[in-house]
Amino acid sequence: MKSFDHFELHDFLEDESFRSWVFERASPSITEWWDQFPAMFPAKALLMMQARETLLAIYDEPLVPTPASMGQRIQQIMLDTEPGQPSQLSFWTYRRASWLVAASLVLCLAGWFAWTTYQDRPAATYKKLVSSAQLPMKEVVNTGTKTHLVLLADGSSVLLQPNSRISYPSNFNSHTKREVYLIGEAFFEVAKNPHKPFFVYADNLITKVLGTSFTVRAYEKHTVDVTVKTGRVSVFSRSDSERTQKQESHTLTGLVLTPNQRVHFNRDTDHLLRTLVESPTLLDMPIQRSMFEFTGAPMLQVFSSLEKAYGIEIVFDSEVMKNCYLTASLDDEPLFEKLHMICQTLDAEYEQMDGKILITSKGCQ
Amino acid sequence: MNELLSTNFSSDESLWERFKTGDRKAFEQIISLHYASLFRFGSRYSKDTGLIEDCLHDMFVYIWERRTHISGTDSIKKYLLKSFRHKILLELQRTQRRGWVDEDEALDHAPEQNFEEFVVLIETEQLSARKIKTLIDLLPQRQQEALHLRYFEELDIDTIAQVMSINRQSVSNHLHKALNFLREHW
Repeated sequence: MKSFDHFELHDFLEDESFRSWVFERASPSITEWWDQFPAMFPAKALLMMQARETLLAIYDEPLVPTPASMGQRIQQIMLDTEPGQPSQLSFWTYRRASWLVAASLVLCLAGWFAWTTYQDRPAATYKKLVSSAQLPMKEVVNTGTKTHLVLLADGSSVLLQPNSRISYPSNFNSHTKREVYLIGEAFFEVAKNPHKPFFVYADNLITKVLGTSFTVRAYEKHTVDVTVKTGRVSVFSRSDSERTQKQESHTLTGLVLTPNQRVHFNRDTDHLLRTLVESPTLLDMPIQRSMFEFTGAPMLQVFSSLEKAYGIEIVFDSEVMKNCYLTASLDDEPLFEKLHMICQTLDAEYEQMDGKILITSKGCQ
Repeated sequence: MNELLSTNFSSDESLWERFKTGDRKAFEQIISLHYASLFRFGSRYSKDTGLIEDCLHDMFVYIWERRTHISGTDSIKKYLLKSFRHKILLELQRTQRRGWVDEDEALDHAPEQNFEEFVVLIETEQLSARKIKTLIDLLPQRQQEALHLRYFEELDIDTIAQVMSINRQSVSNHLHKALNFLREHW
């Protein structure tokens, strides 16, 4: 029999069977033995109880990850460390992102925003939002140096800029809202559908559109800029107290931006500043300047302007289509809508294959 | 409880070496083996699930990117515990969600609380979990952490020393001082 005459607090704590008894994971025989300890060693009973209380005081209910969230997070780590990816850690240094939406502002509402303090980093916000999405999500990461065209299930097109990533549902149909999540910069052309408003979540800002084209830019330091090319969008913060109402509404409420105006949000001072885009022709992306106005234009010109704007290759037989000319005014339609309109006019067909657009035509008379 | 200790040390070195040469499967295996226990370990430092997950994410991405510069290890668990603790303390410090997490030895003093009040409170109370909890809360953070790692996580002194980036003697001192304090005051 072990002697406990000289047992000190330390000795109890160091005793593994004692700890297992306190934390209730001991075998029945060990449990029984420690249960009887005070009766067997009355001189050490108080100390033993003190040791037990000490362990219970150290006890700290640990958090345990759910298998589902764990699987998802592990997958995310593997995804973010895939060879050829730029450092995903750099997303953490993006910190406060900025939004650039070429937009104009119709209403001037001051003191309307309830901006809270923004401690969350865009990447963390992005991750949280994406992981809480109810629909199965797809993610596209543009690690290259060129604009990357992303086509969404609802027909909207997104030109994703370098160092940017976007998450979107593989299918919108089951939902009344179309919601995508962004880090970095992208130009959106949203397929019109007033019954299913389109939301872009970037950092702590939400942009709501009913059908329009605009740019969101979310990787600068402490500011957020928003600019709209055509149509109108409304912008509000995730922490906006009236956010739910604004999101549910089928009209645009709140701070509405229209072409050639820009919203500049400073995260540090919580200020939202509305400005005009000084010189619309100096916007960063070619598509922001493109107007797609064609008057009797040869197809080579039409397709090459689309190729340039969307950074996608369009394959067609220039010999067959040499007599085809297009007169059309295209603007903020998504790429597929533009192609659809062009093809309808010319009695042609288009399909997407290997990241290219193939145009099939019997030619024009 | 013992999952932190269940790592098979003999296979650790070869798994680590495979990881260091860029073996994705080895990397995934390492994450899968340790994710849950690291998460649990992290909850000692913060109850913010998102923060724990983000720190884990960043730490794993970081060690993947630094894999060629990382030294060998006989225990992946020790290496990860240490890296993760470092990461989460830095993150807490940065976001100032907790003030005590400074690595500075200067913080090795009892919190600036009204000690006299506590003593009165303690003396008027009977032996109770609450009393001892109060006493433990009075301990310097590093002593509390050492107690937790030794008697709750059940790490051995060597591992605690490595995880806390101090030497074995300091770990023993922290534990010794903590227990002495408890003995003196209850």
